[in-house]
Amino acid sequence: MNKEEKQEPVIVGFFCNWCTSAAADLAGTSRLHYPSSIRPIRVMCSSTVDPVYLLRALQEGADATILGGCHPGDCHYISGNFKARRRVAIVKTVLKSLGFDDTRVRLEWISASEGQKFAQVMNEYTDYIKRRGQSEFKYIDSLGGDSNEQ
Amino acid sequence: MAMKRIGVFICHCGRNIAGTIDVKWLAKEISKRKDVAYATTYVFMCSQPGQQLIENSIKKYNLDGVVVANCSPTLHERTMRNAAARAGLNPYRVEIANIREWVSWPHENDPERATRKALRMINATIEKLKSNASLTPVKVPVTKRALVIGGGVAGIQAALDLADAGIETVLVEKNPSLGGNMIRLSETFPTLDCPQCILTPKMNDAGSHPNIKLYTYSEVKDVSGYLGNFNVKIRRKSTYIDWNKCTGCGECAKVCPTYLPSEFDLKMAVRKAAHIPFEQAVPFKYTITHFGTPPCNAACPLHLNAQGYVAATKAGDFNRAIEIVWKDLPFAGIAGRICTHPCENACSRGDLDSAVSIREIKRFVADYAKKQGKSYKLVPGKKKSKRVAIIGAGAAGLMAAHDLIKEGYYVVVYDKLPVIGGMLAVGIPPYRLPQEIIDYEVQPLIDAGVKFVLNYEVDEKKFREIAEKYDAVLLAIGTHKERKLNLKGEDKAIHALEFLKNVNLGKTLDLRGKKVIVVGGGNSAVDAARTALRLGADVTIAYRRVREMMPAIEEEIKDAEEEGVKFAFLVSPVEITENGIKMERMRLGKKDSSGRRAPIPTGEYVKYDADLVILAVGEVPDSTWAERVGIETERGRIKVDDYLQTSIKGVFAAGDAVTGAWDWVHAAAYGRWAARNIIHYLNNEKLEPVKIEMKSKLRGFKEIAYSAPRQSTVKLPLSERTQSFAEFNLGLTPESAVEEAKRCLGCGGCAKCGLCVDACEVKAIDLDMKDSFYEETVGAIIVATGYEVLPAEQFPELGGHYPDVITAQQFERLLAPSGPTAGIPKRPSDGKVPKKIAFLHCVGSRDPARGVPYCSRICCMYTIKQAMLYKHAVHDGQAYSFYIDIRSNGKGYEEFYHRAKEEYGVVFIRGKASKVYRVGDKYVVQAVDTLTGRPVEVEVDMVVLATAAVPSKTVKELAKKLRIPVDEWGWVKETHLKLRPLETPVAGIFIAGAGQFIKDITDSVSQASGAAAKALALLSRPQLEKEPLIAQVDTEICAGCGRCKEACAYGAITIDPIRQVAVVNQALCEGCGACSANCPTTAINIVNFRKEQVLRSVEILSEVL
Repeated sequence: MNKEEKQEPVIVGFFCNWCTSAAADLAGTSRLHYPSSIRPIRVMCSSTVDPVYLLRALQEGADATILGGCHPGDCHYISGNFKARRRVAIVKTVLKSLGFDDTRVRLEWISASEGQKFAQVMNEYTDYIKRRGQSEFKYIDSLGGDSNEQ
Repeated sequence: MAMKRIGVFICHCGRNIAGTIDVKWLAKEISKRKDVAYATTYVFMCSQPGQQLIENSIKKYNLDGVVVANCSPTLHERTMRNAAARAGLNPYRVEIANIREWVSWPHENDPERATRKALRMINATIEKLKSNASLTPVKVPVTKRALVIGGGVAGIQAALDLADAGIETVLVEKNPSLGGNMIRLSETFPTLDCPQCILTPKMNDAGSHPNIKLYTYSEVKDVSGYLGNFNVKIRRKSTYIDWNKCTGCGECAKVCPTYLPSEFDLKMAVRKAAHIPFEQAVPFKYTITHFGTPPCNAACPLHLNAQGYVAATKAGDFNRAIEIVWKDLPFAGIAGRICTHPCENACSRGDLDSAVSIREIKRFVADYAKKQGKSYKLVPGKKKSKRVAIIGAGAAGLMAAHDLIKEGYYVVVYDKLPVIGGMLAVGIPPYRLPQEIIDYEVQPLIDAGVKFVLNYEVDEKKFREIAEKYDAVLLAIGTHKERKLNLKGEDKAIHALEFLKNVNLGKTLDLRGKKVIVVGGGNSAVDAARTALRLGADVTIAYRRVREMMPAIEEEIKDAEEEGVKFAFLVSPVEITENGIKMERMRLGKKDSSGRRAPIPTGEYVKYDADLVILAVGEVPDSTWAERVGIETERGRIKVDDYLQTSIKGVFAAGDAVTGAWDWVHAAAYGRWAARNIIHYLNNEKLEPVKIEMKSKLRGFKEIAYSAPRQSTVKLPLSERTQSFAEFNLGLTPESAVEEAKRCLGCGGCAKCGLCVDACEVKAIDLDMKDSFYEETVGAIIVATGYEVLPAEQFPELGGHYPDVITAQQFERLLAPSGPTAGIPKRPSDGKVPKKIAFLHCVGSRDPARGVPYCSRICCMYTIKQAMLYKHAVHDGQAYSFYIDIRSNGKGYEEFYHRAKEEYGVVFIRGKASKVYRVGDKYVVQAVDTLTGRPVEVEVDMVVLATAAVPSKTVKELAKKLRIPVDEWGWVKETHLKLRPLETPVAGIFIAGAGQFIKDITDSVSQASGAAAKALALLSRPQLEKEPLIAQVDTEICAGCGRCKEACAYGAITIDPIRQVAVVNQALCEGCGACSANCPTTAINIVNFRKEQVLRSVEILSEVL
């Protein structure tokens, strides 16, 4: 059952529990369609997403990562989304300075009521990543030699 | 100790999952894993047998962890964990893989990929689960108190239910009274109860209940803490009346001169700034509404309370009005005559017709006081030893002298002129400002001890003496030197300054029959022209731009025109000859730095005959001596810092000498600031940077404006005016002053005129009252924020901008027996009873293009009710109702609808109105009757729009503070629309009433009691359990760097000073994990969301194959 999978991009989504995960629930309940290339993981808050999570995903084969949090000012944990915004900015800078495509890390504010927006963003982003092609980052063996950490 | 015997339970959810995902294949694949002891599927895992299956399997296979692949964890995570617990497995060893909302539904069109994605997600969940720890919930104490936000019917009900159950309840309402939207209604459907009768008992109960702490006119400012222990900060807006003393007698409202649109009557009536919203208000206390500094006060460089003295004048209390002026300004008569009135330029009445004549009102009250023999009483402050010299007795110098003597300083004012007043005395002609007025208003300063030394020209030597003798010096020397144009023959002309000074000091010229040309377009030019005219000359003002660009005050130009001054525009002087002046013609070019179009020479010349040429082209300070003593200047102006101090310490400067020739009010304002900083300087205090500009965004309420033209002042007849230097403008009469003051729209709300302060017998009024802040700790919160409706103005195509096209909420007030028309509806435009009336349903509702996509639920029923009540009030009237569908789904609702049709003869037309237009004093409603397919037009006297209901404006802000979600319209989002409609995702915060979505009263009250029961269930427990998914520190590797502490928004982390490791306060930690992402050593982690767990999941999800 895995013949065509290679053509579909792999996008790992980190969705905060309070806003974007709820939006993903709503998108599903409303039967809004988006590609299965989105591979979601629920985290409590966007602020808990360590830059390593994003890099690890890219390193392990993902073509892109998307981080979804509450709108600025609406964070369930007061200011977590601002911290996430700073971290994503750093990851992007690092990727760019190493010569990689920084658009493969994306941050979106999607509130619990924005099921429509969730589906739309996932569709758009998948199309965009499809056009960009496969990520080169996955061919890097290790990031500073901690791949044996486990 | 990774788990080795995991059970995986895959739910079919009927066809919801199994219709897309091959669940059997999934189970087969999963069971291949070594760490999975058992994998199976079931049709409904959440059902009793499904849960039993999990329980039995745990026991049978001795499972050490469980993954349930089903729906969103928000729905059944708890169900599955409870099942596991019943079988003896720690509930935190259960994880959910959401393969319904996240897989089968969004990918229902691609079963193959959906199945593979589901497998991957289950695998990722297993990898995470493997390292889960067994946990027990954290126990937290609970504060047995509750907070209810919103004092409408839902909030009142919830608060009463809680209070009756013995829970101390804090009830916060933003308006001055409880009652919300319901108390505004005329009668309620379908029972036709009157809310005044059925709600007021509840309001009174809430107001007097021993367990209810009421905060009205208050807002929730901030919320912190968590379930069981919320800390709430409450801001109580200033009512300016001490409610502990207020008896509700209403004397304040009786005397209050400021009218505002009534919020309670939705602008269908006016109220006073001191008011009680309605007769049954709870608490029955008066409130004064003050919105802030009105534009007039803000625009005034001296920030006089313009709205205040206008308000007192409106009330006919001229003595109070002058006292209000005198509070800030001793020179009311001077200001009233010659101020360039920035206040009037900012006045919002100007948006409507023309600004309130604030200056003339001030002048009137000043003259009134003078006629009564009253003058400003200046009481000097306690004598101080410090001495201040002021050089210059003009606008800036006089103001500073006043402020300094008031503080008790010894003040001496030197001036080279033989009179007091500076430019006021010699620059402004007496027909505008008689010397007598200056002397009259300076007298209090002299009486208070200010010494004036006249005819004393300060030079270097004298300045050094003064500087030696005094502790501080103020240079307020004005601009008494003419600017030179360097024209050929310039010496043949006279400068306006000199000309005016000579005339003012009695050295008049005989200009009878002479031709005079005045060059310039400013106030001095106009003053010189009008003065020359009075001396008998034939005067022409020659200006290089056009009339609209003249910097002189508009009224003055008009007066000059009236008196016969002629104008020549677009000419600039080139040469002054024996018998005239040669000018070059100009044209207008691009805008220059002044924002006006610059005059550009054309090369064409024109000659004017003249016996006398007066140049009024600007003045500069006479500051050469100052330069010689070491005071820095810039193009003649004295250079000062932000504090008005010159380059010599202790020597300050203000007025035109600093700013260049400007006007009285700015000079006075700078003088006042200089005095302020001199006082700071003398007391060795920090100086304050000068801040004269201030903006106010407040605009008046056009709704309350009655049409009245600006009152004109009495002026001397033209024939007399041009023959003498007597004051030509005699000001307003008492009647016209009051009329003029009534034009004020009251932008600032309460004008702080103080009439109420005197009227209040219990001395409850404090116009300086500030907002007060309170803190409350509660265990649970109920949000009951209600709704509002879209304004009619938003629907101009339906005539929303016409006066007789109003919202249904406004119409409720007209139908209410307690309303402004006592229950007989009358047209706002002319007060006539409408004989034909149209009700339009779905205005903005079910209309995503113009409003909202949803149905507002209550409009059908209240419109039917309103049509009925209209017929009760107007027996011979006819009501038409334009609807899309009638939605009457409630107990007794459909029957109510039929009564309206059958008993009351209301005509229901099935068709949404598309247009409303005015014909004469009638309104025509256009629609298409969808039952007959024909267009219809109905002519009516009044139209009522059932506009869409939307959440209160303040909800979004409040939701942020509570960290609860709202939907795109702002309705508070419930945890689950069907099954947990009273809860928000934040534990301990509940919803009641229309804040969640529009509800009728029945539903609001039911929900309120429901939310109260939910809160009670929580508060009746001795201790609460909190999710143990919180931060944990591995003290072996923690370096105590404190980066986790920086990331924590809750202050839950401290650094142990002895062990130098991070310590987490379990009660405060909310489990967001911001700390873990910041930790450089991975020492801090959220339990069961440990970094290595997440990374394992990430690895599975990232795999390409």
